Amino acid sequence: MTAYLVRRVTAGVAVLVALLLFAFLATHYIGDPVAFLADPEYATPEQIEQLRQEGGYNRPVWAQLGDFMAGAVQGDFGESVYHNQPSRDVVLERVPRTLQLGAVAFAVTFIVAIPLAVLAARGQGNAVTLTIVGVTTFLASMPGFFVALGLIFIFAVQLSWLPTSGYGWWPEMILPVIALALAPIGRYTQVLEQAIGRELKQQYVSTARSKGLAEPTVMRRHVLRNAGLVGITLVGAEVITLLNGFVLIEQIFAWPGVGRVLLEAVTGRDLPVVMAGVVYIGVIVVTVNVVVDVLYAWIDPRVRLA
Amino acid sequence: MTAQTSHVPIPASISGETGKSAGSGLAWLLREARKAPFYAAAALILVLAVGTAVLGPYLPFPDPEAQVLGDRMLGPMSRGADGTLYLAGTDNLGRDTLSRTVHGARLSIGIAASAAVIAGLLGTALGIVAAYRGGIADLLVMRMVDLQMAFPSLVLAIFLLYIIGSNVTNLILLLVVFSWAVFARMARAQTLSLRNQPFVEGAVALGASDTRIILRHIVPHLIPVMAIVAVFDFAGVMLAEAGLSFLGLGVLPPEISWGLMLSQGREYINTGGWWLLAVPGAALSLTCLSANLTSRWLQVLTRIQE
Repeated sequence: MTAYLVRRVTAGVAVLVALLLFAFLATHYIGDPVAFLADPEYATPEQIEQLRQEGGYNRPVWAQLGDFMAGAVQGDFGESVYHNQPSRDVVLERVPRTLQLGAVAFAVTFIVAIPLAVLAARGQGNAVTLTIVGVTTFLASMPGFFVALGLIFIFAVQLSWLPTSGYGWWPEMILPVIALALAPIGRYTQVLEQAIGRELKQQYVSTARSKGLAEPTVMRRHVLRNAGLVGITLVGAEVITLLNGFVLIEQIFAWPGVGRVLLEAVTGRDLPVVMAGVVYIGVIVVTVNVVVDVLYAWIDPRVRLA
Repeated sequence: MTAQTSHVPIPASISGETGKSAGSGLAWLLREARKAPFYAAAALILVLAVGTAVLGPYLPFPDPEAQVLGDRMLGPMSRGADGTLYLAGTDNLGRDTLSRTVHGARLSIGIAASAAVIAGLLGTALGIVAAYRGGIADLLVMRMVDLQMAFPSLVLAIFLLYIIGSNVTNLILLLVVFSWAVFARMARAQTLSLRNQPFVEGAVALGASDTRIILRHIVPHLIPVMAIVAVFDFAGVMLAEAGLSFLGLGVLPPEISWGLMLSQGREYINTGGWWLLAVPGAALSLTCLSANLTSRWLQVLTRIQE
């Protein structure tokens, strides 16, 4: 287990280093950091030269890379151009808000998807199964941001039941959480339903039933525990998808999270904040993936040997 | 990066299950369509959507750019000052929403289809090489796949689009970069399992060159699987493009795409201009849902088990 843990954490760190390197090279080779800060179309050559001097962008690339890496490891990406504070703080301030939205969306996904999957699997192809599979297929293909706009139009504009946007717990969170959770609910229900269907055919289920266990107990104690493994493998991929959704959903609901600050920084040419945003999102993703993998290996020992 | 067991779909032709004795191809397709009317309807809608994208400018719709300033913000099914019927209403400049949606198909579907095809070819080629050559090539390709899948693509796309600038070519390029990995992983897994099949071993024994084995014996078996992945991926890529265009980082005005139309329509959500969202949004959702269902139908038709 320790060996697996070490291997997995090392791989995670490697991904982060690759990401840092990529972010740096992309800004310095594909683009020009100075052009990113000041559009050559509007800035005078003198202003651009001054920026180059101040930012140290006229030094050799390896020196800049060294500084960037050294700074990044310490969480120092430089001062934000707009907010009068270190870009790290600009981003980190917003991380809890994104996590708040994400955690609730995830919880809602599980609370809805697990019972739906159990119902669909138990139905074995009857009307209940067909309805659930149909609806979840539909949900899984809906563009989240279009759903969000539709929800705003119906519940905020027409009915005036809920606020159109803004930050808070209740009722501000209802619409963004629904918009974020619908597609994952669709995907999770389908995958879990298939997994439960597979497990129900296993002989241990017959054994459990013949012991005289009640059906809910068979489901909870035996089937769901095995089917749940599939659910856990999905978590990593889902978090990545969720983060993609965040950029759009936070923008639509004016939710002051990491996705929104990243987009603001990109359109506002705030390079240090962009860098910090990309890297911290990377840290979140890698951490979640490592935790999920380790958890999975802990639950299912076969994985460690792979 | 996430630990997962790989499910390798085996084409029917290999797994020994012989497909239906075909009869004429069309009759067989109709028979299958009657068995699965929902899937068939989805495939039909997808074909119609692609047809609209190809033929858009030649269809008898009014100019999508024509502004009739007297007929601004008319709801669906209303008549303009000169009696023209606007089936899907008009926008804030009196442009015909239906016509814009039809023309928007061109870029929305065109970009997604190009990206899916290019990513499919590139990913498949890399996957075959990785599986066939093994060693360092395999390691390199798979590490790249891992890296690519370990990060939320929309976040990186936002970062990169801002650096390289937003135009249709760059957009397709980026979408390819973010979707080749699925193909590479699938092609690799498929090739690995095909390589040990008797007919490949037979070809090796007969002294066929690697190129010949790959082109004559492996690629033909990969085509159905990769087509299924491509149709599925097309839906994802289309949503990504729509999301980026919605954020103002993808397709830019005066071009028309569904994502862009949604972002333009969003400004009228508070004043009741719902059709500006509903029409392009429905086109986007319906195409996406149809692609997902078609991909599944293809799975059923080719008897490729997940």
